Amino acid sequence: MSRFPLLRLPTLPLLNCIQYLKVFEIIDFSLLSKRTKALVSLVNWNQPDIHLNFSEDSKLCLKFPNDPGLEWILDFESELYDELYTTRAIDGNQFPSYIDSVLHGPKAFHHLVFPNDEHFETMRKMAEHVSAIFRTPIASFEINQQSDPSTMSIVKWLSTLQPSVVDLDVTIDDITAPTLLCILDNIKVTDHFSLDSKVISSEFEYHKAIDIPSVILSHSQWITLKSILNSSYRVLVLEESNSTFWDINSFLMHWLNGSNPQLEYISIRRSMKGKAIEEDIEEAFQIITKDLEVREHEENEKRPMRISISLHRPSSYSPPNDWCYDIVRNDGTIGTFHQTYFHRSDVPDFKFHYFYFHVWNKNI
Amino acid sequence: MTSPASSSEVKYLIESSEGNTFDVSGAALRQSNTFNAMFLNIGADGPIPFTDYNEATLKKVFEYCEHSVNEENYSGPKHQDDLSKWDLNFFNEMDQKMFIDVINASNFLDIERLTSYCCERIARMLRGKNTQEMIKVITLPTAEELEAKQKVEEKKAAAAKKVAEKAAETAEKTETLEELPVQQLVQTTRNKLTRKYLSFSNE
Repeated sequence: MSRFPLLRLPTLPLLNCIQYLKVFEIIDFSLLSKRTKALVSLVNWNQPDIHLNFSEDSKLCLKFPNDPGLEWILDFESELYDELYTTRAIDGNQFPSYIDSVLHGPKAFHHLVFPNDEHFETMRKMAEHVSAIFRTPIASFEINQQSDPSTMSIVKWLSTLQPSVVDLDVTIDDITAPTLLCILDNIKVTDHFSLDSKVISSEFEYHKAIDIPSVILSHSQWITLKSILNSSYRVLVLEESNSTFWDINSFLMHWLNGSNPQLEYISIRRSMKGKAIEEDIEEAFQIITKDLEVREHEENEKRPMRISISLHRPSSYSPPNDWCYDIVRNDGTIGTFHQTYFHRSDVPDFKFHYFYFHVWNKNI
Repeated sequence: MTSPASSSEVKYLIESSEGNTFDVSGAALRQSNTFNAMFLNIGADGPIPFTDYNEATLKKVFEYCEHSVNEENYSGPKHQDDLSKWDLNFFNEMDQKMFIDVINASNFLDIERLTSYCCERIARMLRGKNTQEMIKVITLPTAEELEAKQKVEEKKAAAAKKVAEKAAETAEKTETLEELPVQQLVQTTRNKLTRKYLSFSNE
């Protein structure tokens, strides 16, 4: 049978044909020419959730709201093990690739596997291409164990690709202050930011507001009280914090006076050696609650016991419910707090101090 | 013109590109949203001209409509595997040219069910194929074809520009029409009309 002159069909049936293709077929079809790319982008797609993960074996994942049990994953692997690969053309260059599918219970994961390259060139091209054809920005973004220059290059690429991202997750053992500043200054995050990195420079301090609803920092020594008071978090989780009891008291005073109206939850973990943490929990309580009207917390069924960390990805915390105290704002909003110490058995003379603050309103 | 067959069954005359006419039942025609929008309420006085399509294509399209008259209302695409034997025969006996003509006519007449089945059939040609394999199945315009197309468009644009400039030049020279001889007056009017037409087309 002779070749089918598909592109000579009127636009509407042509778009109708494209809608019958599966995700990898749509991507392949859109890679054929500029015209096919333009046609695919004209289809009225259900906007997929696009997740991008830069790591040794990088991934670009697509999930469509009308097919929640299906995940379409473009894998960029450092080594292609499958010898049965075929070639795919991207921008005129041929790449070996293969398709694989895995079933996990009711969910199906389809993989289109490409080789990864040193600077993620192929992955970046595919991310731009996929975002363009489905007319959908990348929603969540992950950077795993990349060098500082590589992280900066990825951040700059993303900031030119789209104005913001819903969810940003960075995991790097050690990060330099310039790289951290590059992330904070160039990527606008609209829902959740998680940073699992130790900042190399111990003198580095960050005083500016961070306007991201939900923030988790695994090593937060660099963030100052000034920054916390100026920001408008919904959820803030600080680990390895340098905050003092007096800082926590200032924070509670600020909140009582009406600052940070979006706040739902804050948890601070301080971890220090020997007597750096005040030994006397009573004394700590006195400092934290100085000049505050505090009452013992009574269990209330209206208090929500799950706090959504990210609105984009389902994950939640359970706030502590024992040994809690309340402070109440003029508008009736209640702030329930709890603090505790833990001795670390694996490291002698090492303690954790935890402070949790949960905001809720029994009238809602 | 409608030809009354029975009180319950109204027939319409359809005219093809060859100028031939043939009957189609009202029930079959009503599957065409184009027909519904154009003729259903006001009726047709004389044969309905679908003269962009030949008789064979139109007959094939309405054969499908006549067959699916009693089927449930179209409620979205059906998988090709779920098609009836009649449907499969209908598609299988068409050659590529007829198939393309049927899609074009069905698209113009806006017959959702037929267009949708045709499109799914085309999509099946691409199913499970990568870029290399897709190129073997469908015709993509070559670089030369695209270049030739662009050259033709550039030539057309240049010619249109030339005509417009000439018309503007002539209009400037002939400010007082009364003083011109009749032949020149006719030419000037033509030029003005050309200029008006061109500016309208550019809009």
